[in-house]
Amino acid sequence: MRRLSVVLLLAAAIVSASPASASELDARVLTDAQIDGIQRQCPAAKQRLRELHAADKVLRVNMMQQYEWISKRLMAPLNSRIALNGLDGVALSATSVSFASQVDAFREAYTRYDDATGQLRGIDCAKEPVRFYAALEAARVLRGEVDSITKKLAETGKQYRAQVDEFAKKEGV
Amino acid sequence: MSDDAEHSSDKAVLVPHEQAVSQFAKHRLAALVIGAIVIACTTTFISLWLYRVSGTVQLDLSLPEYENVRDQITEEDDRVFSQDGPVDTEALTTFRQVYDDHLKSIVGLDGFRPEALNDDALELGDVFDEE
Repeated sequence: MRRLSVVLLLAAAIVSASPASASELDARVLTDAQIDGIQRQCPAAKQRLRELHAADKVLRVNMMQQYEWISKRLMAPLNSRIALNGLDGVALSATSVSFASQVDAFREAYTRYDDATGQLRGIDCAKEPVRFYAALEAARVLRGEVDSITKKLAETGKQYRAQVDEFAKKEGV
Repeated sequence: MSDDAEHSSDKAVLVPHEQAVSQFAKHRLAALVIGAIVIACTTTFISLWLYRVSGTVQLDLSLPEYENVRDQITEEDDRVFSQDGPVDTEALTTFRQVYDDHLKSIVGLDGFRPEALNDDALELGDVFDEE
């Protein structure tokens, strides 16, 4: 019996030291009262999720339109014009390449987030509150990633604008 | 005797084939309808798969649930900055004007803030305040 306890303690120590268990520990353990609360609030939460989904979709269309416009109809033509005039636009080109790759990252991150929220909306929180809350926490992380990329894109956009001023100063135009 | 045997074996081979042809002739219409349904289902499945994997689904606001938000889509800018022409003060001024208008719409935008999925935002705040 004592030997069995030692083995169980050792197993518990190994499991608690593994990275998988760390992420499990991060996940919130719901009490019975919280599970009841989620079931009670389920219709309201579902309604808020539907509204958020519609708002996100509009935002995604508008932002992607702006990103594509800046990348393909402003940065690319200016870089080409500078190159065709035999001027040095290496820094501007490098920033526009970075911007374009961030646009791709935004598209991919949004797809992951959209898939996660789609799954979330598909879960009946009245019947599966624990699974619903776990999916909600996963969707929060993915939304954070989308938000982080939009901030990076804004910074890169500002950087390009500052480089245009530097270029103009250097070339005296 | 051997000719008779040959004829009877040919007959034995041909009969099921003929039967099958005759069965198909009888059910030709049903076979065509089923075939058309199978082809339609396959092409519909491929179309929906492409609709999803290409990302078009994320841009599609035609469903009735998006009716209220459809008018929030911003119209496309018709101003064009050409790649041809000189790089002079006038060109850069025009570029800056258009660029700044678009930059404004992506800087300081808080659209995907994580708080939108918080417990409070989803009316679950009270559930966790009761702890």
